[in-house]
Amino acid sequence: MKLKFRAPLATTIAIAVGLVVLVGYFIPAAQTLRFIFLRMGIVLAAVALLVGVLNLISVHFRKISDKDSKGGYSLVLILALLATLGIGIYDMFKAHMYGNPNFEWMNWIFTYIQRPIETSLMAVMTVSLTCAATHLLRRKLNFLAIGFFIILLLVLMGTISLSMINFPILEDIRSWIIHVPALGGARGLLLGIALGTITTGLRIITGSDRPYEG
Amino acid sequence: MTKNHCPMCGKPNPEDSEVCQFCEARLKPLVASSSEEKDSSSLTPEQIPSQKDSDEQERTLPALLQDARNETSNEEVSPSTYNESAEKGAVEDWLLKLQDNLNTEDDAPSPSTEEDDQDWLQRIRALEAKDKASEKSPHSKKEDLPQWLSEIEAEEKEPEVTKDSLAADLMTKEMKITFGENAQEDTLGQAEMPDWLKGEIEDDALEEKLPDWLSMMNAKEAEEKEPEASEDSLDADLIPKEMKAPFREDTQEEVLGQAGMPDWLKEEIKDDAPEAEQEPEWLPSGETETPLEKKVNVFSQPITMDDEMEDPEEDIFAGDLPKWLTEATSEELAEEGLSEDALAEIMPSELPGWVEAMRPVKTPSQNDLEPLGGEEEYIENSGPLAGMSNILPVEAAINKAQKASKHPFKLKVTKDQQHLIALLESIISNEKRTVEKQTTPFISTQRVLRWIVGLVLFFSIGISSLYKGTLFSYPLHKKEILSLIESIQALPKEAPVLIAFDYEPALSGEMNAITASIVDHLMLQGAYLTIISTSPTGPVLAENFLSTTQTSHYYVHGQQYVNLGYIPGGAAGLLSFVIAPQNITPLAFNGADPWTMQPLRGIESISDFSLVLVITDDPDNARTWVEQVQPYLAGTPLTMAVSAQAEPLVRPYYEVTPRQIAGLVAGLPGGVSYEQLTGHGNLGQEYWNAFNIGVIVTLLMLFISGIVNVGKILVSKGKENEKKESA
Repeated sequence: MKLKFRAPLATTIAIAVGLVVLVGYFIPAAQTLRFIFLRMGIVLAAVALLVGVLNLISVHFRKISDKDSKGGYSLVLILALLATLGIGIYDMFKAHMYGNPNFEWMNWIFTYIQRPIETSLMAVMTVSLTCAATHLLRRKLNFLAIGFFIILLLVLMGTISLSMINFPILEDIRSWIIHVPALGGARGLLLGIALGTITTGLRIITGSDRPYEG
Repeated sequence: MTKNHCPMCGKPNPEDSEVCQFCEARLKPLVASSSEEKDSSSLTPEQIPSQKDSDEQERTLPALLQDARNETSNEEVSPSTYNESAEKGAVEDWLLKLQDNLNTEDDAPSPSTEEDDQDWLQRIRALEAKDKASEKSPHSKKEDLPQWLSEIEAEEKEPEVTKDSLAADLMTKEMKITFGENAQEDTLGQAEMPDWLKGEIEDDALEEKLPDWLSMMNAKEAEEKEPEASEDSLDADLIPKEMKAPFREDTQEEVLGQAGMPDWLKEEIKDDAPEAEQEPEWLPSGETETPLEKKVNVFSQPITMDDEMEDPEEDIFAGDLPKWLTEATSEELAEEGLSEDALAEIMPSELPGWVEAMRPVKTPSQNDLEPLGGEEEYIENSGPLAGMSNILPVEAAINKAQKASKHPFKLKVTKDQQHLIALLESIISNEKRTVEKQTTPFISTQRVLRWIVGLVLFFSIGISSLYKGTLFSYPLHKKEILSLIESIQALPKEAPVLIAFDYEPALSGEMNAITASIVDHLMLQGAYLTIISTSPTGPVLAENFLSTTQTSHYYVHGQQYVNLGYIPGGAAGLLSFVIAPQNITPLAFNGADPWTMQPLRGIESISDFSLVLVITDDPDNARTWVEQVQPYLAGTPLTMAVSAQAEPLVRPYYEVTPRQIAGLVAGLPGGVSYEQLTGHGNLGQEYWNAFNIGVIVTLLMLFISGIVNVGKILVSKGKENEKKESA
């Protein structure tokens, strides 16, 4: 028989820890306990990262064993992961032995593999966004589409500064757009995020929300 | 020497002993006077009761005591009336009325032989006999009646006959026994009843002829007795069948009279009732049965126990007495030390007649205990009740397999559900259809457009990056950049500065261009740098940043800067680092103890740093630093260098009073502006031409595409309008 201790136990732990951490903000005597819980949270997060890496390896191992799926990419991924891990351990070992954390091999991987790949993806995204912007008025020609298109042009025009063609009014328009409508919208987003965070915290503390599958 | 026999075990004991030597039962009762007198009338356990003639003794009683006896005799009859009253409750009213009529008709002509009746009662009886005699001559009256009246009378009598037959058919066996018992009691009252009981019956018969005042008194007495009778009848209802059986047997014995009686009882009855056997005067000679007896026999015929009563002795003693008692012989008694003389000395005591009359002379046999319905007795053969009889067969009921009842199955479906069902059916049917794959042309307009956009951007930006001159003017100075510059310039030499590298490698081109001038400024100020990151790639990015952009300052790890590595846990980890940095990061990125190194000497908390610089491309990271770290800084300025996409969400923390961040540099224009203000050109100015060319090309493409798209839409709408107009 399967005993379902998981749900009430997880809920109890979550509520208790949440209350202790919350009380630690207001009662100095509870700050020590709050700090203990925070340190435990850090360790759990690090372990969760390691568990995620192991899960990634297991998933791609299954894909390699599956003849139907394209296991070649998974094989490359696992080999790259193991190689990077081995190089990182080697650099860490060398740094501990000689005390010079230059991380030569890791810097080479980062400089010549990881950063160019990610930067290229950003460049491709730039081209894709530009193509999408050219299609902005192609499907619909209404007030919102025209307004969005005009604001986009104004902000981009306010970004550039041609020495031979100086339009101070464009810079003022860009500044106004950023400081008034964009700033107002950003503050609204931040307030919404803050209220959502408070609500989520209260729901977790009261047990109404159990994102830990309790 | 006479021996005193024990009344309990029957064994002889010395005469002077008070307690039995064998069973220690008391031989001499504590109240000797009364017991000695009643020794003659006491009954020994093994003695068979015999009916004694108590009529002579009763005649000697005074009149007052006889009246009391009569009252008690009425109550003594109650055991038989228990069943009678109980059964009457179940019998139809018309049947009871019929029985009452029979009783009154049969009781009336019974002659009385008691000598001590009152004179006035005798006179009343004589008058009554005359009236009855006149009523008993129906032939003379019938001859006087006209024919039509005699036919009506004949019709009225026919239902009585059918009632009797119906009663005989409809009554159950138990009812028949009770009903027949009542009738036979009346019959026996004429022939075999004791005298004192006959007197009671005569009194009942004479009650109808009593004066009004006397009948009213009797009625009152009857009303007083009725509640008792009703309670008895209720008790009789509640008595189980097994307990009722002895009563039925007694009454049957009384009903059946000599047929079911043992010999000793028959002799007693013959001796006691010589007068009762005399035929009444009104009975025609030659008839052995009175009309009442004929009617009673009609009810008593269905009784099925007659066969058993043919041999009354066997019926009484067969199988009822225990084996040890039936097999007891004189030899066994002799073995027990009891001689025949001793046995002869055990004189059986005598009971009063009325006690013997009430004593059951037969124990219930197994046949008597059978259910009257004639069903076979069920004996449980399994389970905890195995061996017990007269119980319900539980297992049979449980094991009785029955088919489940079929309920009509009607599916209740609403219209909405029917619509959904139809939709599901259509989806399933569409799944079976084979859709031809649309072959897209290798060269499509969309693909061509993407290639054109990509190539234009690539060549425009690439060519512009080759040009080292100044094509575009630098951006205007902003106050948030000036605030950051003022904060850095205010730092003393070798001031500890905490720098957070929280951005992704994909945005490292933009972030390095923004941050290079700021870090360069810090190094020029001679600050000790402490690097931390909440992103796993942050520490490597920091090392790469220092090794690519700040090589001119020759900063060495552990001497001018310390890389503390990665803090897991997001906001919680960052808060823990703020509270106790030494506990959260006890080791540096290279595994050494950072807190003994020069950059971190004297650092106990985050407020001990002179400046905090957060480099991030994510507005959420910027928000986390503002919310979790800024309250603990205690005057230490928190500054930020963010990407252009994070500027709108970070700027509100600067555009507030008091400011939550002391300085802000956002995007490549901010970095270029910072370089221009500090006078140290760096990556920002190198990227500035390419950045502006790329923005201009993008603007042109958007502008051209927008005009083309709007033109197409207008043309299409114009054609539609023309078609409408032409149509």
